[in-house]
Amino acid sequence: MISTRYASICAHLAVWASVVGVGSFLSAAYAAVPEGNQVRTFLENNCYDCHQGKDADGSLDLEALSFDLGKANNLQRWVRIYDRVRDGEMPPADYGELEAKDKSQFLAATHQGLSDFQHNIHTKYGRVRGRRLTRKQIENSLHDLLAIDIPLTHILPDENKTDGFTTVADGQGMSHFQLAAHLDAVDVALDEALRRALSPEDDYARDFDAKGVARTNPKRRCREPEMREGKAVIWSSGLIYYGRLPATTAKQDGWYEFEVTVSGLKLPKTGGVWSTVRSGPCVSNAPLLASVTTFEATEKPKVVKFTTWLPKGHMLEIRPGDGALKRGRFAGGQVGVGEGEPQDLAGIAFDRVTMKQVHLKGNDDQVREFLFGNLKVEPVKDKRQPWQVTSKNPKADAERLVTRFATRAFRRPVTSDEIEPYLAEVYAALDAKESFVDALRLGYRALLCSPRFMYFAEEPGKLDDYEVATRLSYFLTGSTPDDQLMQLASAGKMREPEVLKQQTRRLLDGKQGEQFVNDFAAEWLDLDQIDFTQPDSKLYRQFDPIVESGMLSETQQYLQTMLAENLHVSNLIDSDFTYLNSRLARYYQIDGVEGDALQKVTLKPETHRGGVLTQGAILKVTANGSNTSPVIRGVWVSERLLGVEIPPPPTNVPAVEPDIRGAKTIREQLAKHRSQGECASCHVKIDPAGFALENFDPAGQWRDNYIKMEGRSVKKGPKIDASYDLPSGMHFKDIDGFQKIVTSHPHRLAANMAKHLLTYGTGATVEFVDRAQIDQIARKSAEDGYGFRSIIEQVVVSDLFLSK
Amino acid sequence: MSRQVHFNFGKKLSRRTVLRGTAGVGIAVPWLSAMQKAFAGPEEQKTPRRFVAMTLGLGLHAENLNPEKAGRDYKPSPYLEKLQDIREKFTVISGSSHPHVSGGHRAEASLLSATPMGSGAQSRTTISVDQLLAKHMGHHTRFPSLVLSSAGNASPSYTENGSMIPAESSPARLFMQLFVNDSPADQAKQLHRARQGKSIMDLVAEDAKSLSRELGAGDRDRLAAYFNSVRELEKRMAEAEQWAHLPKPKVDSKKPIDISNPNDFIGRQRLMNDMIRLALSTDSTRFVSYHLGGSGGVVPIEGVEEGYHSLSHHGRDEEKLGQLALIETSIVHAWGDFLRGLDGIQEDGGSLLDHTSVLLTSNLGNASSHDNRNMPVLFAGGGFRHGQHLAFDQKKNYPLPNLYLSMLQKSGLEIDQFATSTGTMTGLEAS
Repeated sequence: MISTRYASICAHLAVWASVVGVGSFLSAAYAAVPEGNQVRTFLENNCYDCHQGKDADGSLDLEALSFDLGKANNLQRWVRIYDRVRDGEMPPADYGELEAKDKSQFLAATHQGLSDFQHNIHTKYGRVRGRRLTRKQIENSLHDLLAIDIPLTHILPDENKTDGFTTVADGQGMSHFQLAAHLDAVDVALDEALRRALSPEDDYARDFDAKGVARTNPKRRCREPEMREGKAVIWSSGLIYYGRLPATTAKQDGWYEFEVTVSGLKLPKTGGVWSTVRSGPCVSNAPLLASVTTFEATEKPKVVKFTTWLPKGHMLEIRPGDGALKRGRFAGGQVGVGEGEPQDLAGIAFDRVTMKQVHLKGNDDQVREFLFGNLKVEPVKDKRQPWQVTSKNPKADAERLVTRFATRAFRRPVTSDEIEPYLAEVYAALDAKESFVDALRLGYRALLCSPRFMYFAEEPGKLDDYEVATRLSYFLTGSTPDDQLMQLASAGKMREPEVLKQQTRRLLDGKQGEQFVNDFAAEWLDLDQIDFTQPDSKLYRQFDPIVESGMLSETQQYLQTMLAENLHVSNLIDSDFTYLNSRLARYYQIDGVEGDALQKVTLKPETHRGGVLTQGAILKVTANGSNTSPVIRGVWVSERLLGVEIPPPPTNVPAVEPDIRGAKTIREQLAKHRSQGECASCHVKIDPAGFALENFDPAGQWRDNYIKMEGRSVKKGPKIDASYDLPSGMHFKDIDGFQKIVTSHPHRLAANMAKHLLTYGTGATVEFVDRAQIDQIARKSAEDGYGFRSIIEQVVVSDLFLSK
Repeated sequence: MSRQVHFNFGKKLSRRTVLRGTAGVGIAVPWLSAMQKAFAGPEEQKTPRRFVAMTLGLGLHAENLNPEKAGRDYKPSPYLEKLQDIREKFTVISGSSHPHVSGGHRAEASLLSATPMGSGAQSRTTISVDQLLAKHMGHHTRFPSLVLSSAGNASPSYTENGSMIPAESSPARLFMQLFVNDSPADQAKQLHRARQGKSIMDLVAEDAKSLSRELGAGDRDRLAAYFNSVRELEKRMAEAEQWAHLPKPKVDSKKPIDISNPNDFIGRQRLMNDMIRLALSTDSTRFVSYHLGGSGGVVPIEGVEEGYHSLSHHGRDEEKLGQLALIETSIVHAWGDFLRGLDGIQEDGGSLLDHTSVLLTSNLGNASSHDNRNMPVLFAGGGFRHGQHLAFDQKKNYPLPNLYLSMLQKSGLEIDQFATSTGTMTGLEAS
């Protein structure tokens, strides 16, 4: 049914209206057939014994499996057959040896059939089809186009992840809901830009001494700081909003820069008083608080600096937050002056708090320049319209400004044909006596809803200079190309390998590089899921939000270092260093780390830490908060870090329900599960990484034994066995052994890294035919010692990156 | 204030009347007064038919849900014991599923569309049953449909071109959309923008056509999706413009406070159920899908110690099954309370429940093995004769799309097939 629809592909309106499946045109265009006879003979001789007819093993009836790769999931099935034969998994060992020549002929023929099929499609239609900006990219782009900094992602729907990334076109939805939300986001952005352009510079600054942030009436019991020896004090307690500072309430939405002078009181033995900064309305009918930062208050006062977004009416809450601290008890949910003093509690004391509204992406003059170019914008004595834009020739000015804005928004020079309808709309508004500003706003609004802004306009074949600049910019900065990239594109230099490498280095330098790592790792390593579950506080008592935020910073800082110093890819799996602050070091039971700044720490072997693999953030996002599963961790590590592809569970076979009653440890349960025929072939790939990590609990701490619950108390359970016998005959005892085996294959790690970068950066899944290029990228990066940045550079200059 | 209000559909309602639902939430109902004049043709004088689909991401354990005996005199299963007072209001359906739908969790995409799909990457779904209703009959209300979830934006509601409709997960935000009016100045601004928006949509639709010609066949699908979205939005804007002149219904209840703990599955379910009841009883919408995906963490219920998702992979372990039963019993009870709430609101010709089909189901018949057959199905209200257990063949499943077809026809859609349906549902009759 689907393919017949596509018979009329050239008719335009009919196609617009009809429902069309993605894969549909593929089957009509190419019913590629691998070398039929050769493959057929091989299958007959070696496979049909088990895989033929209705009762075929694994419901794989090879006789019936068609070579029409465009239909259903035939392509994936053939790829899987190819892989299993290549890896010697099929035919199974007990079936007898294959003739080497037969095998290689079969593989070559199948390889060519599959590659040719995909190659033809990619040449004609491109790998990446109809990719649009993600909501994060829309926010960044609107920020850069208008020099504004107001958050916008919350207006737009969450994005789906396909193959781990929101950038993949195949999974990106579009509906009128999506579009309506987009229009809302554009309106919010334009309103903010016009507010900034047509009003005085935002100017809000306050400087509070201790009294300025303390409670105003010392006799009232409340949740604001109390005065003690000239400082405003908050004690350790579990009371919600205790530590709120109403003085810091934002008078209008905005970014605020804070400097808080604070010291610790009655310090614990572990060092300073670890504290949290959060923001919210801090009233009971709006209980949500946003995390801002964490710090360690020391005996000597110090200045803690941070910048945060505060919606109007939100304030800061700053308080001791270390879960290990004794917590004060206060009657009735309020704290009276002097009630904390006798309870022997740690506390924090404020000397001074300053706040100042700031803008992160440019000042108001920059906003005016982007909107109105060199037109005069000034305040006038008119109450209804206190600011005025002077245009002597509105239509000519509008044409110039709308065209310039279109060039920036569409990321390439626009033709007069393209811009004409937009200009017509603006002229019509001017003719209808709308103000110049309103008419211009209409033009900008329309441009920002155009598919030329929302989608990557990439023509099949090699990308042109502007298309490369755009792809590179969104890959590395998540935003629209800057002036330098646009100039290089206009000079026709964007495809030159040296220029590409040099621009890559420029865009990954310093703060921008940090942003890239954070954005990429948020999806690649699921770091955006770090607070998806809260470890059960009864079982994992030492975990708290400060630890969590430390874990996230650790992994981000570590990856930033790998990028900045171009470190070997095997550092993902193992290393002798990491980045810790005193709180995380205590959590990992590593001595000798002081202070709240992350610092490079050399790891001793007995810590069993090293590599991203063993970092708390990874161990946490791969567990569910209460227990660990070697299967979930195993699949995750295989796909994200090792580059071992785990096929989805069989489709046409109902999964065998594991009957694991009576089994005890996870190892025994899985052993039972694996013994059930069809499960085994995948689990030998999944389980090793999962078991290697069994010594780390769901909250990321080392453990020698499982825990078991006896009534309400937590007892020591069975000893953990993290060993595994690999199918290759190799054996590891625990995580250390596993790391040694894995790091001895850097090529595979580099290829995996390249695959994820390409998926993220181009917006299409890496397929069978792309494998050779991935391999080549990894080989070239070997010349630079498999450095993280070298891999990125090789990705950027690859044909895959430079073609649609 | 009377406890219940009977709507008289013969006359136009000219005053606001206050009614109280069973959960003690007062609702002022302006619903026909202005609306009827504004949009409804003569055929709309009938009591409206509604549909609510509640979908679970992690299934319901079949042995605790499905009664052993079929027919009208079935003995209640453990999950249904506490629902016996409303036994005549719902039907239990076992042994049914969507033909040719597999893929474990991924089959969520076909849950309401019943589109055949395996686990191939190129599988696509198409319009879901709630959206089909909204497409044909959604224009009578301010919101053609509501697509809701307990967490995140995933939903089983899809447009015709297979795009998932992002769900609203915040009861507080939903409440604002349903019941809180914008200031007159904001309204005027929005009207202006809506009008302008319509012409912009025209403009960018044309632009999409020329861009599509430049980019070739590979991108045509996606740009077609954009184009259709533009046209659809244009239509919605025109409708919204009419609604913008009319005040939103007033309700006595306050804006709810969202539950911040993502693992408080039941708390979130009950709060959202309250919002759905408010939305239906004020006729803000008639078609709702509410997705209850499985959270990974520990559901705060006494006796539950393991994460919900990991409990669903129970592997028949007694301890896990026991904890899972605690969660699932609470889910079914909350669903029962929702039915009771609707049943306590009277309108012309019966209760709100009598005019609302309420479905509770999941794509997973067995979450432990990710099996998509033998889906859990509870179906209530909507003017059907309930109080029975329709037991079909566990081995050779009965096509569940037949239930959708029965419901669609009862709702007034004149169609004779939905997805892979083979007819209306055997054994399910109109009351």
